[in-house]
Amino acid sequence: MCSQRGPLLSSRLGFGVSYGGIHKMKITGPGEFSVSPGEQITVSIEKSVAPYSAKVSELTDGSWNPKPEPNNVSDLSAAGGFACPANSGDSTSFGILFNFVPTPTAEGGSGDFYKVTIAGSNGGESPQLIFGPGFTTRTYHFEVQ
Amino acid sequence: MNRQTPVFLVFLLGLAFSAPVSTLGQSAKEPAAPPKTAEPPAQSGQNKPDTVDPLEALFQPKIQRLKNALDFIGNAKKNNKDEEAAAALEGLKAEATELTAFLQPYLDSRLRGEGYRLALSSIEEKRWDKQAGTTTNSAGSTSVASKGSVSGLLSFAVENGALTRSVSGTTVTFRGSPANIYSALAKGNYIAAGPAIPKFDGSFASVAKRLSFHVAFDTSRGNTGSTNTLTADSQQLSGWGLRYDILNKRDPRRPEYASAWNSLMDKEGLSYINRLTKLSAQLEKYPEYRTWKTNLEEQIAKADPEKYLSILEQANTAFQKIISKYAPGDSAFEQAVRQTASDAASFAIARGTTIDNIMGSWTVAAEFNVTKQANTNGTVPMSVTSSNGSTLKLPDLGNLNLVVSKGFTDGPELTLNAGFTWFQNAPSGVKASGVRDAQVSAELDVPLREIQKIGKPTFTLAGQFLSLLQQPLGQQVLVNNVAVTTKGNIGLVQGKLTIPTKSAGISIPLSITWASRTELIKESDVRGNIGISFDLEKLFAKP
Repeated sequence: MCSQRGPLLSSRLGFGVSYGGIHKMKITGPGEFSVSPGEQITVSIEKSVAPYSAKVSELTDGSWNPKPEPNNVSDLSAAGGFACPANSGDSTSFGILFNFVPTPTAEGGSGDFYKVTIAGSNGGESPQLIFGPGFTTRTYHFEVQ
Repeated sequence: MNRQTPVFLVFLLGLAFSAPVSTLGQSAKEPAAPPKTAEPPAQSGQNKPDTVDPLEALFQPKIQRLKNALDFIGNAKKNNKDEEAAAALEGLKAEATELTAFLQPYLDSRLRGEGYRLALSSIEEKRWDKQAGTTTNSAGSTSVASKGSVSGLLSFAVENGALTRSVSGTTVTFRGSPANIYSALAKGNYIAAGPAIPKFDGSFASVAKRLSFHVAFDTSRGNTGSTNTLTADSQQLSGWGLRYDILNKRDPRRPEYASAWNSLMDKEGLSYINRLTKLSAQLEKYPEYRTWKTNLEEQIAKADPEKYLSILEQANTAFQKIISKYAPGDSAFEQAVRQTASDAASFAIARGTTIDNIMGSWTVAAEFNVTKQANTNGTVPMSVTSSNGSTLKLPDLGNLNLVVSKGFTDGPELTLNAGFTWFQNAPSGVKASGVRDAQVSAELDVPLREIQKIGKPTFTLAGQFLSLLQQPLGQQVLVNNVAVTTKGNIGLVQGKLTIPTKSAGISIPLSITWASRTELIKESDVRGNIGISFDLEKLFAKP
């Protein structure tokens, strides 16, 4: 799951089923998730129009495999993933800095946005749109239940 | 005062309220946006802090992002795209609690000195004459109403990004580029159409996209009473023009700037987001912070956009209390807050510098403008008579202008203009015809080192040469903001130091002017060859 690249927004179904200590990733608030021990998280970022100019932070606990970065300068998307901590009660976080490269004749408006989708390997996903202008950030916090 | 004087030196010490740094008449400042025509010179307030409420300035970019999300949600719902609307709503709520703006009070004095404008990265909105919080299609932001099929078409084009609209007094100006409009229509929207002026690559688009036009309407014409309604008919047409950008790389989306943006994100960007992520993780441990987030998200999700600012201001007060509660007992936390704020400002400043560097590149443009003076109610001066005794209307004016500009990374901006103006259609029986005047002007603006607690002085060196071949009919010919009516050659060179004061909008200009005619010297007190004007009353006058 960590190395899943493929088309973004591919079918990811969450059935809301718990078996043993494994449960579907739950959104407990904007940017806050409840996850299972060791769950694989996939992060995909898409930009609606060129250029893509986002930067993903390091994880506070754990490491990316791989880090979501575009393969080429002209790419408008990036995908990556990581494994959540193995112990219940642990947590990890990451952030994304979204830069909107300004245009001289238009503000960008609602047609210029990033789409971030966070999906858990046990199901559940959280798509979010981020709009300009200027720059903004989002942080994502994962609590292992 | 109209006599020819070979050399005339004037020393002026005076006070002015936001007086232009350069007052040389028709010097055109190269605009950042490609389709603009000649504009007045830069204002002395360019490098001064904004006079708007700092807290409001702090939140304006965030408010604009919230409004863009709200616009998207509205459109998505209209088109039954519920999943997209839900994703945008999540984004809207998260934007409300995004921390950058709330961390600004923890900036050190050095970074705070850069001002809210830089620190919040609204620099591009200012530079491109964009009003924060207002979109280009917000016709309601002006007092000019629109009606009629032509104006409706123009409004439609503005709303869809094909044209830009600006209002100055009662004049409404629309600007656009036919090739860019075609490209925007073909690709779905303006942003997707790519750089407005792409690199010359041999393609037709790279040639055609450089041509733009403008058309201006005076809404005070053809209306009764005090209403200014845009009918966009021939009676309101006050001018039109074409512009060809021979050289213009001032579009940050151009591919050659990709490495600059990547470098910014890899260096200052990564440092900032790493620091912010750690701070955010720490804040998540505080129940007050989680409650603050939940409350703010709920409030913003339900609020009318007009209420965004007051909600954010209240949230800001509450957020500062949370920091104040935990920071004193936890020096590591306090340090993390300050370092994150510092990194945010460093990123914003580096981003602003990247934009500055792009906006400082050379531009060369040729313009052709027509002023429809015949549409006005003005008549030619009494001294000009018709051979057949009929009432004479003002002739239309044609103008060709070459505009060259260059910015420098350390601040100076150079602007050069050369052009001539002619009568398009002289009234019958009047001798006035052909070329009215030819002009060449140059201006160099140099922002100087900041004076602590006062602001940045600006030094301007400007020169203008005018050859007036015909008596102006209608539109004035200005040199040093003085209307020139006597035919002949005129030369003027001016050096000016503009020092800001602590009072908003007031600056002290100190200038030396050489002019070939004394009529162009504006100082009220001229003694011999030196004029001194020092009006302390303005300094102490109440607004």
